[in-house]
Amino acid sequence: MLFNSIVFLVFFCIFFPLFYFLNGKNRKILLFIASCIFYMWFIPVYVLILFLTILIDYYAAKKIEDDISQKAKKAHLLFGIINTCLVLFIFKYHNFFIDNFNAAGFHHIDNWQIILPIGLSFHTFQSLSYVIEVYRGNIKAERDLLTYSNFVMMFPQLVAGPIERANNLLPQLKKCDHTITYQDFSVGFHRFFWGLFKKVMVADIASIYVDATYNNYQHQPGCMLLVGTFLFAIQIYCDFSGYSDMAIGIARMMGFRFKENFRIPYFSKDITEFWRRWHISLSSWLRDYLYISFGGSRHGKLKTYRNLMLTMLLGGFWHGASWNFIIWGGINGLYLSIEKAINLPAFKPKYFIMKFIRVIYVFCLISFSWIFFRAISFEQAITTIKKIFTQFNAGSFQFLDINVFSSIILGISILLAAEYFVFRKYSFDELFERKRGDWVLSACTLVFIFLILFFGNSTGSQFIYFQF
Amino acid sequence: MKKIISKIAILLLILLVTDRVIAYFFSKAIFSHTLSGESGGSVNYLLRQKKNTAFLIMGSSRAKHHMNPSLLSNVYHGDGFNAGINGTGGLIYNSLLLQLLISKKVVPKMVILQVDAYPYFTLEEENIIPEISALYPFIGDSKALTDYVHAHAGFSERLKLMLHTYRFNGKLLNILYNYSKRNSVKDNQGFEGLSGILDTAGLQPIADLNKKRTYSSIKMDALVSIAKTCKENKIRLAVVYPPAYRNMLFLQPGYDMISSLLQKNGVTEIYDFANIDHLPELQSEKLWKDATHMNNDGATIFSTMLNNTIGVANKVK
Repeated sequence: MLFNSIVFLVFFCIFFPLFYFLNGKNRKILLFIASCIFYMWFIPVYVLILFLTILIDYYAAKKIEDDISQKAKKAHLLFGIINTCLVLFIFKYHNFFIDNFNAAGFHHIDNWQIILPIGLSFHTFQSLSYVIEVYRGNIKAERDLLTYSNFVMMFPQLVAGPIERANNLLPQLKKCDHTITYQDFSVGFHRFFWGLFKKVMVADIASIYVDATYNNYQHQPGCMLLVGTFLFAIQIYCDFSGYSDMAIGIARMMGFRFKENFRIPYFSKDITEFWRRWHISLSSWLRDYLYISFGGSRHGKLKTYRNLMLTMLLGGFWHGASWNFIIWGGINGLYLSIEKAINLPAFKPKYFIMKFIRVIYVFCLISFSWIFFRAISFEQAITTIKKIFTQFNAGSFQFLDINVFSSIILGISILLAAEYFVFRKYSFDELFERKRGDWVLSACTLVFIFLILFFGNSTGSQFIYFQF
Repeated sequence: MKKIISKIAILLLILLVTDRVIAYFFSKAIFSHTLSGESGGSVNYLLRQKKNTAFLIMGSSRAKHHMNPSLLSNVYHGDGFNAGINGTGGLIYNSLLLQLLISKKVVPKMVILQVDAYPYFTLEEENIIPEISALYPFIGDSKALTDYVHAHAGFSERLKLMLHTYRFNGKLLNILYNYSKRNSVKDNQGFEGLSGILDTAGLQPIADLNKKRTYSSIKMDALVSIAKTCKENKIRLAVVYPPAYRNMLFLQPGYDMISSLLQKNGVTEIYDFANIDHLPELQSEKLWKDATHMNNDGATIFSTMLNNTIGVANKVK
């Protein structure tokens, strides 16, 4: 079920009043059933995989807490990690390793014809963080299976995050008898439509141009591929942050507070800052469970660079079972290492023009890395880069469809204006709490709805991050 | 909860009222004055300025850029209009457009319908929305169109269409642009010749052309509907299969199926130019803009060929 579909609208209109009026255990049961329906809308049988990972980590965490000896605790931690990763390996990475095994010229093995369960990487990482935190003694193991199931399965964050931490979400789910205030509903409602605007009016429209250039890259001049790459940078941001806004908005309407997942990342002035603002729930996961576990920056410069590279390479691999994603992670690891070496984040620009140049610098570097993310093969990525640098041919630039291109420009202009003048300074709650804030937000939401009606891509396309 | 419900109710009410007001004024004050473009302007032009046109060319971009009415002198002395449309001009669109025109008393003596076999088959689930959405601004003007949308568009689309501004989805900028040049629209016959020459380097055949595919029942129904509408309104229907460079779109089983379906429905006037191997005049890449569209020079040769063939057919009749 997609947030940007009518089916979801109907689903939520039925779900919300029931959720509002129920309390305690009944509310938990309703949330569980609704999450099952939401997930089973894609491929019903895959809910069993979800149940399996839930049971593994529920059991592992309980045992870790119950065990007295450190050795047994560690054994149960490993049990949880290995089994959860095994599920991920079987469904996501199995074919990648087979392909590489075959490419190396060993005995040929046939690929598995399996479809990746939607959002698998997200909920496995959420489960893993829970087990690790229980092991580290930072949280208590959840004894109620229903509460723990809701923690993993809660439908707003089930298929594409944010990857919630147990210390934030589990306490909210434990009693599940909170009152949904008018502010909760209103802030969540407006946030949902802001996310929908980003998805339908910016990401989906930009995707028309991006697909037209990338799907036909052999015949495109470098200038078109460059514009396609910049637009992909916007598309993926609006697609994913739009999804996160919708997820956070839906959860808030239900009275839950999720952590922020994006903080206007394209206004960052260095790559380090970008990664603090982009997909925060994943980058903080990678920092806490990989980078710090590898030693972080505690053992000298060289080891710090190694740890950064390793973390980002694994972060790339988390996104998809392909060398392109690994290279994408590697490029970002390299950026971070170089920045750390020259200590760029310490040089804070004072003047607007310097800040602007730094923002453009970050956008260009990040866009370059997106080429590997968007290209479907390594060969396509290399050809695209070659064309951008050697066959730029600005004279052969085409808008392709002027109607679409104008809509893209309009959408991006509204996005930039809203982010620079509003969301850089205020949160939705702060906007709501201003004088007549609710009415202003309502008026903006109506404007966004009309913009979606006039300009939005109405085909209800999937979110890019669903594939991860 | 009371406050939440009242907020949603107020927002819905404002949304509905604003929607109706914006859609009404936009439609009356702007859209209805556009006379060009593919967001309904060219249909407006046809309805207003070409009401008495003798023949109508219908189809996709391969009709719009290939058939020049002024060169079809054997067809009612070239008094025709090319209503082909880029991108979405499939059979469903044409079937609905024809019914819209008839409901508005625009009844040509003859329809020349361009058909390709390739989109007649489908490999995946069909999405008919792009075809019918091109005519959304005219919902309410034609009962057949409105009924078709209600029957085939699906629940989601019907729900979206409850908001009238959605009829202009994806068309607003195009309509505004065409509104701005409404006074400079010259008398025309709808045909648009293309410029440029095909670059054959890297030209690749359509990868899935010969893959096993299923017939599209919804498109077959649309073709039958066009045949029936023409019969009921005593409109002569001629079907043209245009060629593509190096037979890029040539799919013989598809053309056989279409021909047999047409003949079953009493349509015998079929002009088959699909196989370019039989058309040495059109084989040079200099006559093509891209692999599936002739440039203006190619269109002139093709229109002349079509005119001569129809001339011979007229004599036989």
